[in-house]
Amino acid sequence: MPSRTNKQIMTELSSSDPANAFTSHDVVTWTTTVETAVLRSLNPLLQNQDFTSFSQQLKKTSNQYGWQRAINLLQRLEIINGWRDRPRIGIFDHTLQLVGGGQKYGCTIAAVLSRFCFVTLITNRPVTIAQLENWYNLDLSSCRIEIIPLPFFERPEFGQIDPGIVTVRSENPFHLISRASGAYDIFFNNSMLEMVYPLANVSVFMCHFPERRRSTYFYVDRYHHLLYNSEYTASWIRRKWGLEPTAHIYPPIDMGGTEKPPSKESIILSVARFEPGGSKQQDRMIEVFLRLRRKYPEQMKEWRLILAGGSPADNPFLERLKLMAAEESGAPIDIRVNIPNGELRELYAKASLFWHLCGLQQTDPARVEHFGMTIVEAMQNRCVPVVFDGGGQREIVIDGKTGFRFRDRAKLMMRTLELISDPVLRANMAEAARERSRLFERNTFETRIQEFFVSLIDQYKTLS
Amino acid sequence: MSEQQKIFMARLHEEYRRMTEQAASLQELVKEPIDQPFQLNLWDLSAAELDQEMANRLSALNDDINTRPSEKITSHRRVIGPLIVMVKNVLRKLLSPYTNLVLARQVKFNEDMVAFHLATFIRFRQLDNQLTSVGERLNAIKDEQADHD
Repeated sequence: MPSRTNKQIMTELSSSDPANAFTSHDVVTWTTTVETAVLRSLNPLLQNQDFTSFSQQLKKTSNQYGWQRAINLLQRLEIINGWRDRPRIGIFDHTLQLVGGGQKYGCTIAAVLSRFCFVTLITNRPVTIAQLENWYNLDLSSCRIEIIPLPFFERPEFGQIDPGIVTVRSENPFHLISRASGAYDIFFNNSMLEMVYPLANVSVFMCHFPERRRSTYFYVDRYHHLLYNSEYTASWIRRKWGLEPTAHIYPPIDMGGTEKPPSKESIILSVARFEPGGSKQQDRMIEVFLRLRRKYPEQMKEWRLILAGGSPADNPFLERLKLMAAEESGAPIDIRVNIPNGELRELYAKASLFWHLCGLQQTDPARVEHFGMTIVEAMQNRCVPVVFDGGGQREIVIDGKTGFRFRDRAKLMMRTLELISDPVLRANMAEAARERSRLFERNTFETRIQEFFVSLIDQYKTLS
Repeated sequence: MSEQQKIFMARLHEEYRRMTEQAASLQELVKEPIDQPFQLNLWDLSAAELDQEMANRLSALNDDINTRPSEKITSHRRVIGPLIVMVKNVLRKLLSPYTNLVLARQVKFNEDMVAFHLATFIRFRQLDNQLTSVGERLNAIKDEQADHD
């Protein structure tokens, strides 16, 4: 039987009896308008305790729109009538067991929302609330964790859960998460996993970067809201997915830094993961640093390069870096792997300059920094950033005011030398950088998140 | 919320929850199409995405090399189903010497084709790596030149 046109649906909805919206047995899409019409007809029946009519009406709806919609309606009616004061929110992240910026983003949201919602963190591999609290310094005591194993990825040949290996030939392994999403009033997908179909009443998709193209299992366009972490990400959402994102919320950064300027040392710092593919380009940093030392021995004699970051156990790229650093005897290059948070804070406090090369000479947009959280961490600690001019870095560093941006290695050398030779310029830029970093503080993030969700929940609670 | 309402809502909730658990697919849960076949425009892809796409498609071709019928014959008919299955199995067996004659050539062709594509893919990768290292060497020469200047 053919689907009805939008015009036909609208005519039915505007008639005196909203129940007309579901008198036909045609398949029509479940929209906000349809949902509101159904709720308007159901709610008086519930309030008047006309349970028979209510059940019949609900059955009619579920026959036409599916059983899931009946669950959704019941959940929303509980909230609208104030029988449940806190909505249930499910926050999904398939990599929650790993420490990272995206995961911190989701957990900070959980901490904020747990003040006025029941929050469940949904993931696929074992992790505990205590671990998350410890990693991100957050209070998640009123959140709970739901671990949903995905049998598809439990095969021995797979290590991490890599959505990239799912093709249209295999069944979508993330449908298990889609099903689980239906138990919540609000479902927040913090995984960038476009293969999860949202079944909750309200759904929010957080995009840190659109890594994969549209495919058969692409459901981002089924979410009610699409958040993004930087303008760079937004531009790629438009380009790759053809979607218009709804709200921009920068990630929360809280590497502190003291109000009083700390005494700085002659250190150039880099904080980035030692990715086996070398996308953070620490190898180029070593090359440039050695070249600077060879070309300007007098200016560079006091300066050290410290490369800090996390790394997996067997990492050939890291081994190569160690060899490169050892090649020139006596070169003050220090590589620090998987250091604790306290040590990292100390490094930030002592370092004068901060290098970030991610994106240099790259043609693949995914290999350019989507935001650049460590750059902001450095700025919070008055390290002057000298960063590649691309990606999210353009939104953080104002060239010539709060640091420098460069397009090639020659420019990086020139700007670094300029800062090394001019302590006044360095001190002024360090202060400007610290001021700029306030835009990205955790408090700002928490306020933005709270505003976004409070408005969303207010709408959800009312039947307008 | 009255006690009656509370009991009624809880009962309904449980009832529908059980029904959703029984649903075989997401489509059944929401009674609308979930997946939409999507035609990828290969010209839009970046180098890394094309690499992935080539690998995926090659892997799919590899899975499909054998065109001989291998699926188990089934029937949804209750009474005459087993009979249909038996007849089809007998037919398949009787015809197999003839179909195999044709299909064996097809399988051989498929194997050669996949092997050829794989070789092309590897050769392409090698050339790509060579190009990258030439680019890196060129940059290094430029930097050395800049040092001398």
